[in-house]
Amino acid sequence: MPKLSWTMTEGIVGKWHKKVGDEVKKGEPICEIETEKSLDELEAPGSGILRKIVIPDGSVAKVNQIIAIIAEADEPLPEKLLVEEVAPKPEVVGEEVAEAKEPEVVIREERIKISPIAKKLAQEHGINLEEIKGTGPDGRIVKEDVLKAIEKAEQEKVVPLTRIRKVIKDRLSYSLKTALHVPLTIEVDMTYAIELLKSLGPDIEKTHNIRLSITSLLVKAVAKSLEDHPILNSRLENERIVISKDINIGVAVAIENGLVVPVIHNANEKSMVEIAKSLKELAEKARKESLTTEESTRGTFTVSNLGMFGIDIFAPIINPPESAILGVGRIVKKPVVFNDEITVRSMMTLTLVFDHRIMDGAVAAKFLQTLKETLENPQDLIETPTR
Amino acid sequence: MTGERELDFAAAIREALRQEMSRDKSIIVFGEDVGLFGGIFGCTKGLQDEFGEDRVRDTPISEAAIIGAAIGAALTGIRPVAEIEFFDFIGCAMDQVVNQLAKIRYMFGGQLKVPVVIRTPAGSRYPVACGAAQHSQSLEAWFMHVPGLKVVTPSTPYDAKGLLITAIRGDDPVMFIEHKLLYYVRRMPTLREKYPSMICHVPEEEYTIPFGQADVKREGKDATVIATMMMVHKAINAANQLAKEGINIEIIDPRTLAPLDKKAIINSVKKTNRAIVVSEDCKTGGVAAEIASIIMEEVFDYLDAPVKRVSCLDVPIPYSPVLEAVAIPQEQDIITAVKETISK
Repeated sequence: MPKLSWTMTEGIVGKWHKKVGDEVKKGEPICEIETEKSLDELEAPGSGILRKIVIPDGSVAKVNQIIAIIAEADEPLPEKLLVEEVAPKPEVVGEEVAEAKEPEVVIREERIKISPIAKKLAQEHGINLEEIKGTGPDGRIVKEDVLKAIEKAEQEKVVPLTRIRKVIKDRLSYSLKTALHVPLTIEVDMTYAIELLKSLGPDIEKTHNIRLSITSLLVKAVAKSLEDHPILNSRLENERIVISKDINIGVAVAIENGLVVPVIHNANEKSMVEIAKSLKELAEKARKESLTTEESTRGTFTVSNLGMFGIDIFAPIINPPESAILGVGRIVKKPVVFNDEITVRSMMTLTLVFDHRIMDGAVAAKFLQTLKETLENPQDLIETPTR
Repeated sequence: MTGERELDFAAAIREALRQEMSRDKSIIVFGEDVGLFGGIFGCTKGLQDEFGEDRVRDTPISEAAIIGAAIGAALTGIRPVAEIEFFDFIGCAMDQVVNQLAKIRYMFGGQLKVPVVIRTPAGSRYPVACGAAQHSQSLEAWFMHVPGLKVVTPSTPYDAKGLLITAIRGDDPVMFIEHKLLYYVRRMPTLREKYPSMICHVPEEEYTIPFGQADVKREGKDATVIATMMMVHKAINAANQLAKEGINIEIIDPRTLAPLDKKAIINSVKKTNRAIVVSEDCKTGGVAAEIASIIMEEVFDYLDAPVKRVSCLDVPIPYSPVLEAVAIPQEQDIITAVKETISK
């Protein structure tokens, strides 16, 4: 089971495209791997014959667990690899094997006692059986129990957690439980940025067929600023701070059933036009829930923008295992003192929430300062369109 | 239901026979003691005087001969109503019933018909008189199992008359099973008081009741009790007791086991989601087993509890009245089963 994202600990083997005995070529998709975030095709790491499927369709495997064996047709397989996974592990054969620890596959299947009609009713009304206490003989769930649950559900409108909601719940509570969230707020004058987008926008739209947005500008500015403050582009791992060389900016996108964070990889090396294009593409894929693992993982910093909803200031929760997140408020025209005069400027409030375990306030503040300067002098961010 | 013209079950049978014999001269009655003595339970009393020895005949004590003669007579165009003195004795005639009677119409491609009615008293007569292991059995399940036979199991005088007339007029062999505790109630105050539902109005004119049409004896919403013959009345008493505790059961009397009114049973179970099948035959491989299987096959998704069977213990009916009462299903057994099923 490959590790498809930093936080991935296990994956579901979706569907095997190959049968035992089939020939497979390197790079050919052999099965689907489902993680909490996406559905991906697993490509064969080498050519040969699919000799054994260890993890069948729909079963879970821990990262690094062997899910199948590809080998030459006549190649003898180590006996160890042929024993059933549930069998207790025999003594460690060599170092290599010891490294790839195979956790025991535990099949947990508790049968809920329920009468046929109660089961049918519960299915029809989307009632979670685990929440019903059966009052029939031997605690069997009977029709009356389900009817009561339905009635209760109708009064309270009980909505079962979707998969994505569960992921959001687990990840954000994990974040709040572990990271030390500290918010810092700064006001940014976006007047020039808006003017720049206005003046260059139409030409760029003509040449590149893409509209530059404030978000794309923000992503670019954040990526640039992170180059100067790499500590904000880090994560805490086993009592060590791991600073990532790649600057991969996640952008929170609200979708019908929740929230996803598509990632623009190496955003600091991309042009505004490229960023704008991939943002558009990723947002569309996010809404269709068709992001690949690559497109939704390995982010190093997240930007969350609620400005379009008229929000001035908000402090988002850090997207684990990242070290900071930027909450973007709306741009609003305000009377401000500019060049010693009270004048109307387009102002925006940025809130940086950082993990105090990893960095301290001064470092985070310096990053915000850089970001503010970058946004207030945006000419360097946009390439003049070539004609 | 008490009406203006009450008849005992036995009298209703006798009336049906008399009226049909008057209507159709091809109908004859024979069996052990049916003529001079008028039948062991008096169901044919007076018929020999009225219709003569040719049409109402006493036979030797040979059940195989009785059924064999009935089959032969039927093949020549006569419509015999044969009596097997006790249901238990049918064992002697099983080949005639199963291999001849049930098969002839089929094996001759419908060119021959065998309109034989076999009347026979069945069941336990506790507490009136006890018949022990060889005179108390309920063997109806055996005949449900044989294609080609109709199995009729009336529970009231009204049904007995109407169903017997239908049986006599039909062209197929019929096992007409009469529960012997039902025969005489009017002059037995204790029995009458205990089971008022056993007595009902019986119209004087002839009427028929179609086979395969169950009777809903009582409507209810909490559970369906399917009961036959004597068990119908025990179920009604149980229902009255349960109603006092706020439990309302629906009682279905199939009236004929073959053909069986599956639809009535299924519709009722769809409504109540629970079923208890009460029959006096032995539990293993019995009537209740068959009906319970049908329910589980056809309306599994509507069930809120496993279908329960209340049947005779898998023992020979004991000679001791005390043990007999334990062996056969009683009101309390039905009440307990209903309560277990609805878990109240």
